[in-house]
Formats: sequence, structure tokens, C-alpha cells
Amino acid sequence: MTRRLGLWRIVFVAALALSTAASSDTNSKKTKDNSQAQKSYERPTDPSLYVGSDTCKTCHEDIFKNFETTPHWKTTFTKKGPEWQGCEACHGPGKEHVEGGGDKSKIFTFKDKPAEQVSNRCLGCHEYGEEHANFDRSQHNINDVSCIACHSPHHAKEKQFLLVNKQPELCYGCHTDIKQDFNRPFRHRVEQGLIQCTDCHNQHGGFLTKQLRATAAQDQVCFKCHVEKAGPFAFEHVPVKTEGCASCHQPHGSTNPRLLKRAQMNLLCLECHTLTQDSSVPSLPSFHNQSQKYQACTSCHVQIHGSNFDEFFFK
Amino acid sequence: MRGSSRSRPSRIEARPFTLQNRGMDSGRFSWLLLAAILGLLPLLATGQTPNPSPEGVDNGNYKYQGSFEFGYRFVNTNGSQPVYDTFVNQQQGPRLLEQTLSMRSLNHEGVLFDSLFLSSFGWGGDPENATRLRISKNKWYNFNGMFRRDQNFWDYNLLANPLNPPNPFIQVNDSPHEMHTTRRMYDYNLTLLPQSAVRFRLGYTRNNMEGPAFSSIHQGTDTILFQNTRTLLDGYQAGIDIKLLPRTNISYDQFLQYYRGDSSWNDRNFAFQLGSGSPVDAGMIYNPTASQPCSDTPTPIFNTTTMPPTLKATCNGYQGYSRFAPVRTSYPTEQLTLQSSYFRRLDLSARASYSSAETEVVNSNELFIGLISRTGQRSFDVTGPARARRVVANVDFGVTVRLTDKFRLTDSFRFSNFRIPGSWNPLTLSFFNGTTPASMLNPIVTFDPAVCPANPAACPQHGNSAPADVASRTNSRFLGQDSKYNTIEAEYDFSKHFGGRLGYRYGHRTIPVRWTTTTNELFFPTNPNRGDCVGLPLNPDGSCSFSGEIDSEDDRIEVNEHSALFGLWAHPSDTLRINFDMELFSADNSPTRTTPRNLQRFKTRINYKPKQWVNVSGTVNVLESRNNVTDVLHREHDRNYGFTLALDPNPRFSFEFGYNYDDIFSTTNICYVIGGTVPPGSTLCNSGTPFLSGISLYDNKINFGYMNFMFKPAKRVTANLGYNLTSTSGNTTILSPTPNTLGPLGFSFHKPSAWLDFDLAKGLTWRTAWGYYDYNEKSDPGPLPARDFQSNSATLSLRYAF
Repeated sequence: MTRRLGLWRIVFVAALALSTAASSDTNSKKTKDNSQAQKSYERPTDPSLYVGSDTCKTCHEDIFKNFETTPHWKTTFTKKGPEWQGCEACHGPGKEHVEGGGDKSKIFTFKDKPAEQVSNRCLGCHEYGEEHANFDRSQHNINDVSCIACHSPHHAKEKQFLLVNKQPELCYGCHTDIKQDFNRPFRHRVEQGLIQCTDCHNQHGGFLTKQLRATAAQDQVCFKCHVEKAGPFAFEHVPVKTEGCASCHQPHGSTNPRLLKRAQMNLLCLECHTLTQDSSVPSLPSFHNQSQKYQACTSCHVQIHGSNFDEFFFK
Repeated sequence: MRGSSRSRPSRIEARPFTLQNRGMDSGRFSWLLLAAILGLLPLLATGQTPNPSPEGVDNGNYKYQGSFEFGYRFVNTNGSQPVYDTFVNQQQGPRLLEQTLSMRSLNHEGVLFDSLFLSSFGWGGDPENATRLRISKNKWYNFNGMFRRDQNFWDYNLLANPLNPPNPFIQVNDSPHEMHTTRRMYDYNLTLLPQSAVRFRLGYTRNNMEGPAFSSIHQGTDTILFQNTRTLLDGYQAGIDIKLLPRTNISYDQFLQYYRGDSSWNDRNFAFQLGSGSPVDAGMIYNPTASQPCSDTPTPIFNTTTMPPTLKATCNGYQGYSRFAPVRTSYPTEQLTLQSSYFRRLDLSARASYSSAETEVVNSNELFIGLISRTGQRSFDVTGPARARRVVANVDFGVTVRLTDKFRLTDSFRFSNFRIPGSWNPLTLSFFNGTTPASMLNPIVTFDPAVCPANPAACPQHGNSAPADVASRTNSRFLGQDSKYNTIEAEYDFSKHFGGRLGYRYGHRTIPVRWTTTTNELFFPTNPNRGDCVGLPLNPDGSCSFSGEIDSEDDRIEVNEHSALFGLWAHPSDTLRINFDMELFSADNSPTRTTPRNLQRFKTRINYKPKQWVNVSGTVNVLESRNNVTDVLHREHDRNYGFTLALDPNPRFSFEFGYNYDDIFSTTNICYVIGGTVPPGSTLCNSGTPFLSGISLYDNKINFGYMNFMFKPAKRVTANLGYNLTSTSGNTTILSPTPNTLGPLGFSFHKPSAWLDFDLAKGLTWRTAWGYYDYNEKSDPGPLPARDFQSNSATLSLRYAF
């Protein structure tokens, strides 16, 4: 009871502090510089500050021609104000830039800008919906990785999602330690193109650790493909549901069959199913002679992920 | 089981290809490869211009761009075909290797769509195929469709193998769980009015897996079953997004998933006969000293003078087995999400969902005919319903507050509660011989009160280990988990080049586990006072009844978890990026012995790009965890170090090299039983004989390296050389005496490759590609067939792009 009170106290204090900070902020006026660092880029609404995309084209013709082939072109059709249209929807009003003879300091350029400022520009349109809703708290954002680390609006190698490279090479660019996982003999078929990193992880952030996605029923993402192991079962193998698939499997790839964490199946089982003072997990019976067939646990306990017909997962 | 004296006809169904018709002999292969390469050389002399990037074709209101690559793959494999198929499974034949098509409206106002993108690969027989389609029309809709098909071939003989001692009768040389299944996944998503304040989303997914496989069943002895795999999941989604306020979105989604599991199992492995000539399955275990399938004395298990060999009728054996249990599960889920940055310095996101899944097995039937010598059962039939529910309530909440331009506070809270009550109520009818010892040659005798127990010879014969003749059980199970996690972090940007964060995560989990098993049993004579009926009075007909609870448990695990979080990022210059993350975790309990009570995680990533064409990356990823309580002493680590170097100075040359070292280690105290006699000098566990105290050791060192070298020796020629090597070494505790193999803990897997592209004409490219797979285990495979293989594959293809 005391522990529960402690948890709720922490949540309450945190929520109070956050809401106080937020509400006080809504009443304050910010300078132009500060507004760039704010959560949402606030677009100036004065139409006289804007010159239109055709003006940009006169100097940036190559970029404009490419821009015309990208999904962002649809911004030119919007009936909202000029601050939502074409080049200036992202780069901000261009009048000063034009009048300055192309002075780069008079317009927002994404290059060399802090990641948060870059991302804020993009999220102004792209934040809404579950896919991007948690980018603010994503591992990418808090590690100063902005949208343009993966997307290139003007120089995308991949037309789909304007990516700078295709998956999984794009992800390997930073996550160099993961490539070797998918080159092990037993692995998920990421290198073969069957599944992609983003099938399991939400690259834009999420509520679960490792930015994992979940099934529609809010179960482990593994069950999206491995549906027969999802259950619910009359007899559940408890750690499958409480500790997750990764308690026995190495999810990316393994040197061991079935992506298991141990080369010898019986060791994997024995590490938990051992008579011990510190666990109520059933221990192995005395007739499970490891020099005989009993070393091959799953030749009998076939339905090890859960069964509807046998408490020992025989069938 | 490819035994010397045993055929396995059902295996043929599981693998329709044979070694002979899958590959080519190496001589023919070499000639073909040489001919293909030589045939292309004259093309070098022609004076065409190199292939420009395809510009597409304008037709009507659309610009079309696309490509397709069609070719033929030659494959030649030596060594273990089953393991090649398990790891690689690329076979010979014509292939549509790659295809893309994009259509873009020139005026961005197409009639049905503004843009379309279609891509495919692997069609024609590769183990992985996919087709992806995206269509959109500005303001009206976005459609994403995807179809994926993967063949899952599995025959790795070390897993689930009983590892019989060498014998002339039963050898399990292949995986008892061999499979050749195909999974087809369909995903379709449609968003209507994607740019409106109110938008609608519809989705449909299907996951279908079918194919032959093998499974096994444990009765008197274990045997291999043919498994006709058939599972299907249909998922539907309908959702709506509403933007009532600026920078605020509310979504509601309704999901319905429906699962059908129609797999069935039966025994088709009747490779022996009884003395009567009727076929019988002796199972996959052969260890007479352990009485599997029975003792070799006083008479041998098999009479080898007959064809097929005759099995001793008092052995464990199968004369028939079938199981059919269609599973139906529905998963309705509703979800409400909120995302808002309405307040300028506050970003929040929340999600609440409720799911109530229900599994039902209405009609199930398991029928066994044969002999279980321990219990004397000659047959049993199990029927009954099973049910389970999974009720899940989740609430997630995340908020970021920008206290200043450089200082942010983030908080993420997660509440998740699931409960899974389940029940299985089987009715089991067991049948016995009228004679002892039980024999598969003797008929089954049913209980007839008119003659039994008055005439004991007319009764079914029951030993003390015989189960009830009629048993109706109620198994009730409950598993739940209530978890709450809260993560709060303070982030500070010291400058535009350097920032960090400090945080704390608290978690609390409660895991209740309960079960009860009650039974109503009827024990017929002879020997009705056996099992649960020992000491109970008999019924008037001489039988004995028992009703009551035979098993129960009520357990509850509580865990409090604490994590300190720390992170740094730095961009000292435009060319250098450094990230560091750290987590220090502590818990006061562990639900399993290997769940850590203490954990430290350190991650460092460095990326250095001194020139536009030079990219150097390095990672250090260290995980240390422990459950250091008495008599568990679980320790493990995963230490990963790697770097890559990529040089891309000009379009005519590029080079990439990477190396990674992974050190995975684990040790845990275990108790186990090995042999009937405790070896001298062994340390016993606290539980005493026959449990021995030991250490489960797992030590795996994995070296991985790769390189790619691309160069253009001539304007129309592009060459690529690649090499990919995984090499492992290590050690592990081996409790089974045979085979004494490290198996996957010590191997080298070489994958060199090369391809050569010739630009024949504008948009037309001829490619000659070669790949080689060389898998070698470093330890003796033991009595099982070696798993090593070498495979050449050559692909000749023509690519056209426009």
C-alpha cells in the first residue's frame, strides 16, 4: 500500500509541476528567436512577407523541379494562407531573403540548425496521428537526431517517404551493431526485404521500450506475424506473457536455432525450472534424466508458448 | 528419420523437392557460368554510351517510371541440403528479381490518383516475396497495400532431437519438428480525406500460414506426428481522426481480429509391424537401457528377420493417433488516442485501449490406439471444450514541457493490466487389455458389470499406475499482470553542440498466478482402488468413484523496479556526432530466475564524417545483468563493439568495411538429473539425490565482418565484390552425452559475392551475379549428419528501366 502511495505521489507531483509550467507559459509572449525553439513553429501570417514558390524557382530551379515531383508539392494546393504553401511552408517567409539578394541568414535553412528546430518545422504538419505522436520523447529526438537525418525533402534516394536510403541500410548507418544480428544463420529476414526495422519499431517514438510497436490488441509485436502463439491459452507459459518473447529468444538474430538465447535447449529451460528457494517456478521432475531424451525439452513440451489442452504443454 | 532400416514416407510430403532435382552438378554449373560470362564479353567492345538515369515516360497526364529485372538463378549445393534450405533456401529457376512502377500525375490532379508506386521482388520461387502498393490522391485518399509471402523451411537436426545412442533401428537424423510452411500476409490501409479536420481510416490484415510440418507427441514413447498446419488471422480496423482544436488530434479506433487455428495432427509413421502383421509406430526414441520404447530383455525389441522389422508387442507403440482441435479466437479492441501541442510549451500524447480476447475450442478430439506400457492403456479418447479470455486495459500518457528554450522535462506513464482466465474440461476414456502384461496383440476389453468383477478374467486389467477408466476434469487457470511505469527525464541543451539528460524510471508489477484442478473419476475393476481411489469404498458394481480437488495454487509476485537514466549527445563539429546512453536498473524481486535484479546498460555511438565521401561509425553496446540471490547466481552480459568505414569518393568507386565483435556470456546455478547413479564426487543440490548441482554456462563470441567494393572499370560496366563472414566460438555446459557437439557455438559462415553489370542500351542492363555460401561447424557433429554446406548460386538477369 505504501509503495502504491509512493508511485501515485510521484505521478501527482510530476503532473502538477508540468501543468504549472505549461499553463504559465501559455500566458507569456515570446520573442521571435524563442518561437523557433518552441514546440511548434509559429508561422507569420502577414501575406506581405511571402513571395510564393514561383519566385523561389527563379534562383533554385533544380530544387524546384525536384520539389515538383515530391508529395510536398501538394502544399501548393492548400487554400490556407501563404504560410502553408510551397517552399515557404517549410523555409518560412522569403521576402527578406529575396530582397537581401539571396541572403541565407534571412530565411530558415535546415542545414546546421539544431535537431529540435528542424523537427519542429516538420512536425508542424506531420505530428498528428499515432505514428508521429511521440516523436518529442523518442530516442531519436532526445539524442538530437532530427527528421532530416533520415528524410531528405529535396535529395531523397528513396521516393517512398523521401528517405535518404532504403531500409535496413538507413538504420544500419547509426545502428551498426545490429547488422551482424541479421547476418547470423538464424535471423529475421530483414536483409532479404521481407520485413523492415519499422515493422517492429516505431522510428518516430512510442510508449514501449525500444520504441516497439504492439499488435492491435496491445500485445507483443511478435504476435503480429506469429499469430498462433498469441493465445490466450487455457494454459499459459507465464514468462511468455509477463517477461516477453525476448526472455528466451534473441529477436533480431541468433547463432542458436529458433533464435534462442542458449545453444542447448535444456539449459535454457533448466535455468528457470530448477528446484530453488527463490522461485515458485516448477522444477524438473526427478525422472528427467538429461542423458536421455529429456535433454530435448520441446520434443515433449511441444506447445511451449501455451496450450489449450495440456498443463505441461504436451499438445 | 532417415534410418538405415526405416523409411519415412510422410517426409516426402513435407519436402516436395529432392536433392537431385534442386541443384545441378558442379561441372554443368561451371560450364554454364563460364558460358554466360564469356557470352557477355563481346559487349564490352561495342561503343554505346553508359546508361543514364531513367527519366520516365510521359503519357497522358502521367509520368511513368519503372524497372523490372528478370533472370534465372542456378544453384549448386554440396553438403547438408536440409541446413542450406533452413538458412538460405534459394532454389534454381526463373525469377522476377525486382520490379518497380511509379506513376505521377503531371498536373497533380489525376482522375483516380495523383501518384502510384508499385514494387515487387522474389516472384517465381524465392523464399521471400513481397509486393507493395501505394496510391494517393491529394485531399481524397491514401492507400497502402502490401502482400508478403515467405516460405519457412526448417530442418536443423540438433533441436528437439532425442539424440538416440547409435543403433541400427531408429535414427533421428532430421529435425523432429521439420516444417515446410508458407505464410502469406496481407496488409491494406486506406485513409480518406487525409488532410481534413476529420479523416477516416480503414484497414484490413490477413495472416495465413499453411503447409506440412512435423510435430511430436509424448505418450508411452514419443513419436513424430504429421502436422497439417492451417492458421488464419483476419483483422479489421476502422478509425477516425478529429482535429477539434489547433495542433490537437483525437483518434478513435476499433479493431477486430479473428483467428482460426485448424491445424491437425496424425501419425503416419508406421514403419514397423506387430507379430500379427499390422503396422505399428515404435516412436522416435530408442534407448533400451532406459526402456524406450521398452526393455531389450528378455526378448529383443525388434525381430529383424521380417520386413519390416517386427516390434515386440509389449513395447510402447502407436497403432493410431489423431488430434483435431479447431481454435477460434476473437480480439475486439477499442482505442482512444489524444495528441496535442495546443499549449505552446507543452506536448502531450495519450492512449487508452481496451481489448477483450476470447479463445474457444468447442470440438476437440484426441484418439490414441497402441500401448502405454507404464499405465497399461491400450487406447484413450479425449474430448472436451477449452476456453480462455484475455482482458487488457492499457493507458499511456506522455508529456513534454519546455520550461526554457534549453530545458525540457518529459514524463511517460504506462499502466497495463491484463488478466487471462482459462479452463479446459476434458473427458478422458481409457481402455485396457483383458490380460497382463498389456500387449498390442491382445484385444481391448471394456467393463461389463454383468460379468465383471465376478469373473476377473472378463475385466479390463489395471495395474497400480493405470489412470481412471473415465475421468472428467475441470482445469481452471488464471494469470494476470498489473504494471505501472513512470519515466521522468530532464533534458538540457548546454549549447547547440552539446546536451544531456537525467532521468528516473519507476516500475511496479504484480503477477497473480492461480490454478485449481478438480476431477470426477471412475475406476473400474480390476484393481479399482488405485490412483485417487486408494482407500475409498467401492460402488455396488465393483467400481470406485472419486470427486474432488487434486491440485491448486495461489501465487502472487510483486516487483518494484528502479532505473536511473543518463544520456549525452555532442556535436563538437559538423563532422562528428557522439551519443551516450546509460541505464542503471535495480529490482527487489524477479519473476523468473533469469530476470535481472540488477542491470546496467551502456551505449555509445560515434559518427565521424570528415569529408562528404568518408563516413566512419563506431558503437559500444554493453549490457550487464545479474540475479545474484543465493542458489541462483545468474550473471550475464552482452558486450558488443563495432565500427564501419564507408568511402564514396566518386560514382566510379565506393568501398565499405565493417567489423563487429559480440561477446555473450551467461552463467546460472542449476540442478539437474543425469543417469540413475550419481557420479562420484558430484555435489548434490539441497533437494538431495538424484539432483546434481551444476552451472549452466553459455559463452559465445561472435566475429562479424563485411566489405563491399564497387568500381566502374569502363563507362558501361559496373563491378561489385563483397564478402560477409560470421565466425563464432564459445563454450557451453553439455549435459547430454551424445553428441558432444558445440553445434552453433562454433562455426564459420562465409558469404562472398560478386556481380557485374553491363549497360547494353539505354535503360537496359545485363547482370551476372555470383554468390557463395559456406557454412562450417568447428566441432564434431556427433552421430548426426553433418550440418555443413557449400553452395554456389549464379544469377543471369536482364534489367530494364524507363
